[in-house]
Amino acid sequence: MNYLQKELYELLKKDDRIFDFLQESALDGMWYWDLENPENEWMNPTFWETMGYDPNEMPHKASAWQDIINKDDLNSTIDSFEKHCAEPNHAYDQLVRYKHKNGSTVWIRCRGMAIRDEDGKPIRMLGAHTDMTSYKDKEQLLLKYQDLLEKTNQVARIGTWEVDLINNKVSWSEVTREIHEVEGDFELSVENGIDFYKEGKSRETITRVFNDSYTKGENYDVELQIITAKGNEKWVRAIGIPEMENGQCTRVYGLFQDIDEKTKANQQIALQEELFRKTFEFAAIGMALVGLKGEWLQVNKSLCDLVGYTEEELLQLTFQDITHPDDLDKDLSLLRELINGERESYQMEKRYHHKNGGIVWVLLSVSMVKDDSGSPLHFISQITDITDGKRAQREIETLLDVTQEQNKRLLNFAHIVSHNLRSHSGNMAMILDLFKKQVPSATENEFFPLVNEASDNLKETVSHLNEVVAINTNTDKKLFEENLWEYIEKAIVTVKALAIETGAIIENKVQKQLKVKAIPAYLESITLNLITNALKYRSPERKPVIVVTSSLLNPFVKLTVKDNGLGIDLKKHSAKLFGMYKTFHGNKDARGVGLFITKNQVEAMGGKIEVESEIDKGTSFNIYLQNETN
Amino acid sequence: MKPIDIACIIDDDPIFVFGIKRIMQLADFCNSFLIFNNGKEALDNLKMLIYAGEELPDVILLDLNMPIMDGWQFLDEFTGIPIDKQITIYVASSSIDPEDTKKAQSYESVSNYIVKPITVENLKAILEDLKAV
Repeated sequence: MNYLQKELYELLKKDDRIFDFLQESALDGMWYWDLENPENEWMNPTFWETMGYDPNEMPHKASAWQDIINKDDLNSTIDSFEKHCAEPNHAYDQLVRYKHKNGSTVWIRCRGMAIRDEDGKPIRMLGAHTDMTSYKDKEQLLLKYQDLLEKTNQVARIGTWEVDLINNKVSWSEVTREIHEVEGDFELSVENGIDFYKEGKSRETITRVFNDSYTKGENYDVELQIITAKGNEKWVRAIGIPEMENGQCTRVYGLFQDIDEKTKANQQIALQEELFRKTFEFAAIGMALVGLKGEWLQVNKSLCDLVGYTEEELLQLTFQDITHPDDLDKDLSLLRELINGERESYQMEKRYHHKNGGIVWVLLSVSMVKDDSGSPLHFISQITDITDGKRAQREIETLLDVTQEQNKRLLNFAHIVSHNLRSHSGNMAMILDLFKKQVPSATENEFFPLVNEASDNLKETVSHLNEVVAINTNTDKKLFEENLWEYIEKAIVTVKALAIETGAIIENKVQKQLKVKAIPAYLESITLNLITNALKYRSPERKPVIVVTSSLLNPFVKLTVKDNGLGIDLKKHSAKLFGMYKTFHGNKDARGVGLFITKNQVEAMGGKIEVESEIDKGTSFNIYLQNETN
Repeated sequence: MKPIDIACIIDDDPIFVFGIKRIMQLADFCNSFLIFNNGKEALDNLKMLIYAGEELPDVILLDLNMPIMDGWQFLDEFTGIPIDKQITIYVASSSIDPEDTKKAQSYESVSNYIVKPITVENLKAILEDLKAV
């Protein structure tokens, strides 16, 4: 033992002040505990001062510090104490947290040794405190920052990497690995690092900038594409910083960031902007961005062409300047509704003044663009030229006027037919009648029968014309519910004489209860005309058989008049079968106007007529009339 | 059959007037005629006859479509004049417009609507009608 040490030991035994000096200055606290009377414990003043308490106020009791020691630490302290008592070689030495009087944590390294009696039984415990708080705080802070950095990197998808050129070692951080999507056992090297970059521009760029960094000492910061180990294409930002020593690069390190989503979003926006710009510029319709006061902010070529101004001229104007005054109020009030949020968009037909003074009719569609907070920014207007459409509409209106005028004239003409022509033909018939009676010898003259026949023909023609006119001018006649069977019976009675003469058989197979909606006079005329025709155009080789049937084809009742007569060559005649004054059979009675009238009457009652026929076999006329319930 | 005394014909068509006169003569319809070319002429002359207390026609054959005053206007004016004598008025027109027929029926003073041309036969029928009344 060194003599000085030996001397200090001697001194310590003799002089209390030496001990006091040691316990006051060398330690942050000291205690001496009576294990035989565990409530008694002596604590030196420094013990309490370290914890922020006044030593004079604190009792020398073990219970005095029970309240300020951390509970978890107390348990581990007791544990350690028991082990130390049982086995002196077990060191009593641990970090214990106390609560400072001001509430903060005091980190104490607490060491102790048990004092034992002759039997080795612990009777006292001596302890020494060292304040570790400032050291502990720094450690905590460092941990906190490391954690924060790691979290930040994770969130920002920023990884780090390093190439140690001296030991030729490459290392990647966890995030860098994740970005590359590589497995844990992936072998790293400069080459296979570069191989991740997409062939072409990306790989060329990274090769060049990496070479420049370690040969010339230049930093780099590039945005490139890689293809990950799993084959995904990604945009990354790679930053490299070389470290130079005596002109030699020793290491390159840097950051590696996943910017795929951001880049793609940016590209998407750029694409959309480009798309909008092109659409706007080259649209076939006029498009414009219009400010809240009506000023043209941006106009496309179509709009300029439409109103005849150049872009520069138009941008000096507002839409109000070139709007027709009669259309302005409506436009402005719709615009206000848009600004007030009462509507999303609006459409209207309006007029602009062309630069040349003319009127341009347009269909205007306006919607509004708002900022993030919902305040109006500007309007988007789409303007379609409808001048041609308007012109066409005017032409149609003119045409309608002409048609109405002509219709009036036609009615006038109908009146002439119905009255004037009739009165002349009536006079002629009357005079001829008179002539016959007063000058009977005149009938002997060979011209007389001819004049007589001409007069009769004229009378008949005029009466047919009258029927046609009547149908076409009285289309709003009322329909009544009529029993079809009865009408057929009536028609059969009417043609009885001719039927007997020709030996015809006419069968009325119409359902007896069937009712149709019809104008009585028309229905009578139709049924009579069809049956008369069937008799008239009989075959000279057969006895005429005429069958009239009916069937219900909602909403119609189908009436069929079938004969075994001459038939009609439909290939030749179908187009003009129902025309006015067409004759097909060379029959001397044929006037043709009959079918024309029939068709018109059927149609005037909301029905239709069809014909089936085969030459020398017969003809069927199908009449569709409205069912009563309809 | 005994003819009526005076038949009045109001019509602007000379052919019709000629014809109807002959037919009436043939049918021995009447003893004498009063012929007017339009409603106004008829109205003025008939009023004068009434004023003068002269004999009035038994039958009037009235055309509808006439210049100056048509048959309807004549009817409106003439039916407003109080007359003691029973005068039978026939409307005789070329018009087969059902509207005209309906309108003619709406006048109480109109006995019938005759569609031209008029023949000896239907004139005789009229005469029988008259006698029956």
